[in-house]
Formats: sequence, structure tokens, C-alpha cells
Amino acid sequence: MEDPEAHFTAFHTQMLLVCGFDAVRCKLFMSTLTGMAMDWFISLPEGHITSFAQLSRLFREQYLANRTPAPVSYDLFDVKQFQGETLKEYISRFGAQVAKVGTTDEPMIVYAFRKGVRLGSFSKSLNCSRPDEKCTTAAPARPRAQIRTQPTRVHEAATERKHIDRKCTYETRRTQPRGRAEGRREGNRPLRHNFVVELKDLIVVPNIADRLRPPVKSNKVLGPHKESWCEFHEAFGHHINNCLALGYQLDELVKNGFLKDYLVEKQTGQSSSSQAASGEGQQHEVPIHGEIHTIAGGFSGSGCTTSQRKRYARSVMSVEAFEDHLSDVDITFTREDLRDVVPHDSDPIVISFVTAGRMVHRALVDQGSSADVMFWPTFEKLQLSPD
Amino acid sequence: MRTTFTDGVASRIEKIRYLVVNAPSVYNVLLGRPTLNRIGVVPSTSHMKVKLPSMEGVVITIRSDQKEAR
Repeated sequence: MEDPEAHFTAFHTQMLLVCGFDAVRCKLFMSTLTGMAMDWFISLPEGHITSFAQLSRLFREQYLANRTPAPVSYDLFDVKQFQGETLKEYISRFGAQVAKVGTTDEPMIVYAFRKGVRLGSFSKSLNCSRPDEKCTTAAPARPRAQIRTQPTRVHEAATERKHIDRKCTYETRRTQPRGRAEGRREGNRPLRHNFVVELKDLIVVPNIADRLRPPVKSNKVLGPHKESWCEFHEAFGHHINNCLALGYQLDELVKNGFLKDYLVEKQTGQSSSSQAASGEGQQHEVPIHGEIHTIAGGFSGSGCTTSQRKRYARSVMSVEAFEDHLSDVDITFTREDLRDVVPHDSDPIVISFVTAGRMVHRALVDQGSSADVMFWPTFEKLQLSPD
Repeated sequence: MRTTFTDGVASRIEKIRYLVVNAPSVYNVLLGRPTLNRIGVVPSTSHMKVKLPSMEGVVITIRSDQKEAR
């Protein structure tokens, strides 16, 4: 059974043509019923219906559950752009829903629109322009208004938005860390090495030119400075000395040692060694953002009183004749040792040994323990006197 | 308590002072740092082995039993 309200609306429009009286309307209404509703109508007691108003009230009461709930403004949030749905289709669908809901809460409409748009360059551009409130509110609102008034202009609106889109993605590119190739460097700028020749001369040296990956050629302006020419990209927009893509590639070549002959040596003697050291360190250096210490705790193996701890510290500091019968043996682990090991993630080392004439299994080699511990059940099984 | 570490070829006998603890545990014995350092045990978790020098200067290799460890 459909929505009773919708049924009534359809019936009333038909009745406008016939403009029948109350009794005629009741009779005609019966003819519109089918199936279950017809059964319901038949089950009404005879002589029960006196007016059409009564009939419609009964009908409404009977099929109350079938009524579709009145649209509320929050329904806008359910209007999502489907996969493969074009922006134009989505906007028209969204506009239809807005008309149905009849809300005038502009910020909420904008918000719902932003939520509904599929992730992509357009939604990104919407997000990127968030600080600019006016732009955000105006952008979705404008095409919506156009849908209401002139459906034919939707296409125009869409193209207009595409224009906004393009403009915004450029801003995104500038503010956010670089994507793709640059992304793996976590936004670090390339090192600026000092070369003995100009960069533009350097990149045409045949040996080096072979190793550089040429960028995709385009006649777009690649950067904010329209007068600067980049010989590497062969495009305007930035100077070659500020070219990021070239910087990264040269960086790599320097690291691999291809550009040794072209690098400017640092003048002072001490810095050349430190440069080598820092160059060495750079490859392994991990940025440390902070250190985490514990407040309490620490090594407790020496004892629990201060004097015991002091004594232990003294014994550690003092040079004693160390029993070095170990030193003449080199202990190594080889691939051979790895051969009979079942691959594992976190298996502990559990060994067996003989003590007090008995084989003790399940002895954990525990480098975290500052004492050798035997558990009471084991001790009992060894059948030793408890002293 | 005299404890013998052996791999079937060489062996080493050491006196170990155990701390006897009345607590439930899946292990019988925990060999802690005092012993490991004193007798020069080198454990390698990736190789699942423990190596230690014997008195005669031979390296004793003790395999960890992975089945028992689980």
C-alpha cells in the first residue's frame, strides 16, 4: 500500500475534473482502491459511511503507518554523491532535495553539500577554501539558486565550479606538502649544494644529463614568478636555482657520488671533515623530536638501601681483576645456526639444563630479570632440603 | 646449586644461587642477568639459541625448544 496522503492527492486531482458530490466521491474513491485496501473497505459495516470526510479520516487512520515522514532539513545530509555520478547530476539531485525540505538555513545547506560531495579534487578544493567563508558559502549556494530558477544554466554553474576547482587546487598544492615524488621526502626541501658551474650549464653536461630524469614538458607557467625561466623544465614560473624537482634529483646524484667533481669544496679545513661526517650521518640520521624518560624506577639489582646502592656503584666503578676466561673465545652466530629455527615472531628462549641430578626443562633465559629465579613447585620437585 | 649446561659435546658446571619464589609460572626457572653475565651467556632470540663458552674454551650451543616455549 502506498502513502495514503499521496493516494488522496492523486484522487483529489482527479475529482477536480469530475467535481462530483460527496456521495459520488465516496463511490469513486472505492473504485481507486485495490488489494488489501479494497478488503478493508469491504469490511466496513454497511451504512457506516455518511460523508467523504469521515471516509477519508478512517482511511487515513487505517494506513497511518504507511505515511512517509515529512522531510526534515537533516535529510539533506543523506544526499550523497554516488560513485560515477557527475557533479552536475549531484547538484540537481541536491537542489531537488533542498526544494523538498524547504529549509533556508544557508550554512547548514552548505555543510550538507560539502559532506555529500565525493572525495576528490573538488571536495578538496572546497575544504581548502574553508578559511574564506564567503567563497565557501557562495560556491554551493550559487548553482543551487540557478537550479531553482533556470535549470538550463546548471551546466554553466558546473563549469564555473570547475574553474574554482582549478584555482583552489593550485593553492592546495602550494600550502600542503607535495604529493607524489616529493611526498616521500616528507616535505623536506632539497639540499642546496654549491656547484662550481651554473646549474643550467651543469644539467647539459652529457654525463649528468643522462642521469637526470627529464620532467614532462608543458607550456604552462610552473610557479609564481612569471619572468623566471627554468632551463630544466623549459618553462617559465621559477628560476632554475629554485627548481625543486631538479634539486631532488641532484641531491640523489650527490649522495651517490656522481657530482663529486662539480661540488664546491668548503674552504676551511675543519668544516670539510665535519661535512664528510655530517654527510655520513645524514643517511642514518633519524629526527628525534623529544626524549622520554621515566620518573621513577631504575635498576634495583644492587639493593634497596642507599648504602647498598652506593656500594654497588663503587664496585662497578672500581677496576678489578676481571675474570676474563671468556675473552679468548669468540662467540658468533652464523647462518648455520639459523637453519633449524622455525620462523617465529616473539618466541622466548627456553632451554633445558641439569641441576641437582635432574633435568630441568622450561628455563627461560630472561635478560630482563635481575635475579635467578626458581619457582617453588620446581624446587619441591628437586627434593632438596629447604635451606 | 650446581647446574650443568650441556649440548652433548661440551658442558659447563656452574654454581647458581636461585631465589626460590612461591608463585605460579609456566616456567620452572628464570635465568636472569647475574648468571648470564657471570658465565658469559650470549642469547640470540632470532637464532633461538644460547651460546656460552665452556671452561676448556669450547663454545657450547644450547638450542631453545620452540615447542616448549609456546
